[in-house]
Amino acid sequence: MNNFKVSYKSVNIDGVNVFYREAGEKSKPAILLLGGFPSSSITFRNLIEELKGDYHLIAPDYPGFGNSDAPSPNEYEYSFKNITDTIEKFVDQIGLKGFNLYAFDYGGPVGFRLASKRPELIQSLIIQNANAYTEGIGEGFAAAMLFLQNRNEET
Amino acid sequence: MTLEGIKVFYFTGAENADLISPDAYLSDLQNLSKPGLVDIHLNLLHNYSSNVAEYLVWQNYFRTHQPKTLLVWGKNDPFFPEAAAKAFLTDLPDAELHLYNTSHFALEEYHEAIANNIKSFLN
Repeated sequence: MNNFKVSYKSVNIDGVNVFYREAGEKSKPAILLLGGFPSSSITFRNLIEELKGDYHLIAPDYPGFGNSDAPSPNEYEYSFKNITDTIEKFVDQIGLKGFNLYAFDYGGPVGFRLASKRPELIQSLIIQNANAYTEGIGEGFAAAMLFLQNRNEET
Repeated sequence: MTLEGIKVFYFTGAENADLISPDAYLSDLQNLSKPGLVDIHLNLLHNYSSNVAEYLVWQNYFRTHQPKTLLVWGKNDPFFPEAAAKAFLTDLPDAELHLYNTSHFALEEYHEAIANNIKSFLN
C-alpha cells in the first residue's frame, strides 16, 4: 500500500533544492511529468492519483517554480537551456535510466531539449499543450511575446 | 502576476467553469507572490525566443527517432491551440491525437480521460 502514496521530496542540484512529487512502484514504467507557466507540479496532482497504481511518476518543479528554490537571476541563469541542464542532472541523480516524457507547456522546450540530447532516455512522448512548431504559436501567446518585446525596447 | 492573470490560463476555453478547482491557481498565486518571482518569470519568458530557434532541432529529433507519441490537447487553448497539436503530425505521422473541449490546463477538466488515454497508449 505504501507504494501507492504520493511522496514530496527534494534533491540538491548544484546548490538548488529541486522539489518533486513521486508516486508508484519503481519497478513500473516511469513517467516524468514536466509542467509549465504559471504553475508547478501541482498541475499533475489529479493525474498522479489516477496513474499511481500502474506507473512510477515523477513530477519536479523547475528552479523558480512551485516548491523548488528560487535563486536570484544573479545566482541562477533562468534560460530554458539552463533549466534543461538542471532537469537532466535531476534525472541522473534520482537514477532514472529511461522514462515516458509527459511534456506540458514549458515541459515542451525543456523536455524536447533533453530528448534531442539524450534520446536513449526517452521511451515515448506524451505531449499536452506544448509547442515545437512556428504554426503552433497561438494569438494569445503571440500577443504576450509582442508585449515583452515592446517592454524590452522601452527599457 | 495577479490572480486574474493566472486565471486566464485556467478559464479561457474551459468547458465548464464549475469544474475548475481553485486549488491549483491559488497555489500558483502563492508561489508567484514570493519576493523576486516576477522578475525571474519575466527573465524566463523573455528567453522563450531561444525555443523558437530550437524548433528545427526538435523536429529533426522527432523525424529521425520517431518516438512513440501520444498527443492530448485542450483545443481551446489560446496559447498553443489545436494547430499546435496537429503540427506534430508533420514529423510524427503515427502519433495518436485526442482533442478535448477545454483550456490550456486540460488536466483540470479532463484528467480521468487523459489518464485513460495514457493507460491505453502505454499498454
